[in-house]
Amino acid sequence: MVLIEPLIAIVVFLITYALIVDERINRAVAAMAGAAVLVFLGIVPWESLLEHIDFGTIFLLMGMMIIVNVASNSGLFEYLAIRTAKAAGGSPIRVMILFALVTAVTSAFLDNVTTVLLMTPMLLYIAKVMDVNPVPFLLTEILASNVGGMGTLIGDPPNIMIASATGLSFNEFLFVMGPIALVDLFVIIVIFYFIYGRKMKVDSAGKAAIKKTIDSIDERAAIQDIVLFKKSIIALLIVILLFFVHSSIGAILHTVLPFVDPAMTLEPAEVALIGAALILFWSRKAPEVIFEKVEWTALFFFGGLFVLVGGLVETGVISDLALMMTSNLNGTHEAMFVIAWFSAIASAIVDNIPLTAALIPLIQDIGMNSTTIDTYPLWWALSLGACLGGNGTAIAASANVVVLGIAEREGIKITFFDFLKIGMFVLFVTVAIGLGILYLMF
Amino acid sequence: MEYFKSLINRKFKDVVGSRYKDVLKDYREFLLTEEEIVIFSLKKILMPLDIFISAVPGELYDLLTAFDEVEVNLVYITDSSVVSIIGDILGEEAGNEYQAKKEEYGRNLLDKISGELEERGLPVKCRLYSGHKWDDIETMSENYDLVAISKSYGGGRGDENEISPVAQRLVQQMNVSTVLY
Repeated sequence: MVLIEPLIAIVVFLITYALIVDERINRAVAAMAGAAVLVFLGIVPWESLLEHIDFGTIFLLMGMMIIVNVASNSGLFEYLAIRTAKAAGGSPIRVMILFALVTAVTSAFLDNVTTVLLMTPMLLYIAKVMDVNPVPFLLTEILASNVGGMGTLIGDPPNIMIASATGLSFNEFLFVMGPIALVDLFVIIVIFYFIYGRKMKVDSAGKAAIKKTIDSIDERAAIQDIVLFKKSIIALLIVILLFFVHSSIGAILHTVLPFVDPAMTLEPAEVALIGAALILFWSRKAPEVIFEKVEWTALFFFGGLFVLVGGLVETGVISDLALMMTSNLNGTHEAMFVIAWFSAIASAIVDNIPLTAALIPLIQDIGMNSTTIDTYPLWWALSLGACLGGNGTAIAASANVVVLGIAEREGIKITFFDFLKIGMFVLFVTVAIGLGILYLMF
Repeated sequence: MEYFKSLINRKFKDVVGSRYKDVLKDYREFLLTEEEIVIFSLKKILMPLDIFISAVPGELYDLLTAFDEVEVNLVYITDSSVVSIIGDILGEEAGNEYQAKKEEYGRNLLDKISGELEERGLPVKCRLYSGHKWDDIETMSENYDLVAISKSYGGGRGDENEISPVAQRLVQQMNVSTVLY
């Protein structure tokens, strides 16, 4: 019986994983069904079920979904896309660079899927106006979105999960992963410039004609509600500011409100929910309309996954794996190398969210078992691998699927292998650079 | 290959749902269509004027100034058949007086509108003569890229939305782009 339970937990986890990757069944349904099997068989009992579900991650995602939904209702993203297009002044290479930068920054603070979903139609439109091949623009956008998401705590689900499990702060993510994201983004732009730059040249007359057409688009027309637009920007800035100070909020508040405990901190999930409450209250938008747009399937997907991973923890599979790894790894740098490359390559092939969910307790167990391995750098190695692994294949991250799905609907052909060639190259280069920077830091 | 294609489609459906349709709908409201992307080259504009027109709306001037290096030709036509009818019924002197009055109105109108166009930086040429509004404008239009024609041209209107029979016929028969104001 002792051996059967871990075996069932592994089999259920692997079958669910395969269903999630294949997506013939909605991944939320697959995760919930897998979790249901474990709960039904008593492998994850009710008493520990709620402990395994990481509500920090779920509430953070929920809060950010509400904030992004209200903001996107105002036309903020479309406005940003048009302003970016205008700033490029009719030069294709500048369009590519500026869209990559804007996508990366937006993805760092907001949801990657919403960012690329709202940026891609504009990018395709500009490519049509410029009469250039849209493929390099789309590929850069995907890669920039994944790299940008790596730069902050709220940029990508693996970072949210890592932060929630470890208590790492927003600023720690920004100071450790932010510079890596910047360097990697620069490298990606340089790579694309050398691959596609020469094919993107447009003469000055052509540039002027493109500029004239793009300038004729009125970005103000994209704003559906000017009052909501202004409120959304202010609310977003307040939320981002709160993220910057969430780990020292008590000390700041104590100076003006002496009754506040100076040691008080706010969890990132609390910041997101406070932001969501603020924007809902201030915008006066019908809450049922906004709540309807919360991606409940994604939240239930996470819930199911946490239970599945809980099954592996409960049955000792994770601790056995951690023990095996601890005995075979010599020091922190070697562990960083293994975690970063394993999570990068695995994330390119399979979904990085269940992978991160499984690796988090593994790293926690390594920390408990080993005296020679410092787990602090391992979290950054996991973030690096799980986020950048998303660039490896067409199905490795949600942003990839969204952009490639839109491309197909618009008659633009980017095959799985077209993406694989450039994606894997970028994955190896960016992970190697990122790991190098982490070695220098730790 | 087909497996990956359908896999991406499945994942797209699960991740995006119907949101892409909504995004496209929003974008369509303010992005130019494919036909509109092609920059319309416009060099010569014909603006027929007559007694039934007293002013030109500012929106038309805004539209005309959107084109570079465009030249506007203002043409004021007094209807020669009306002049000859008045001459036949009331005598030659009455006919000439009628024509002189109409031409004076025409000159003032041409001065006013050409001044307004020049103020906006548009080069203007003016012409005033007695002729046939329908046939002359239709023939002339062949040498122009655009004809801007008033709904009142060639006859008064009962209400603001009515189009005069002359303006309606010209819009239907001319083989050139028209702006009806």
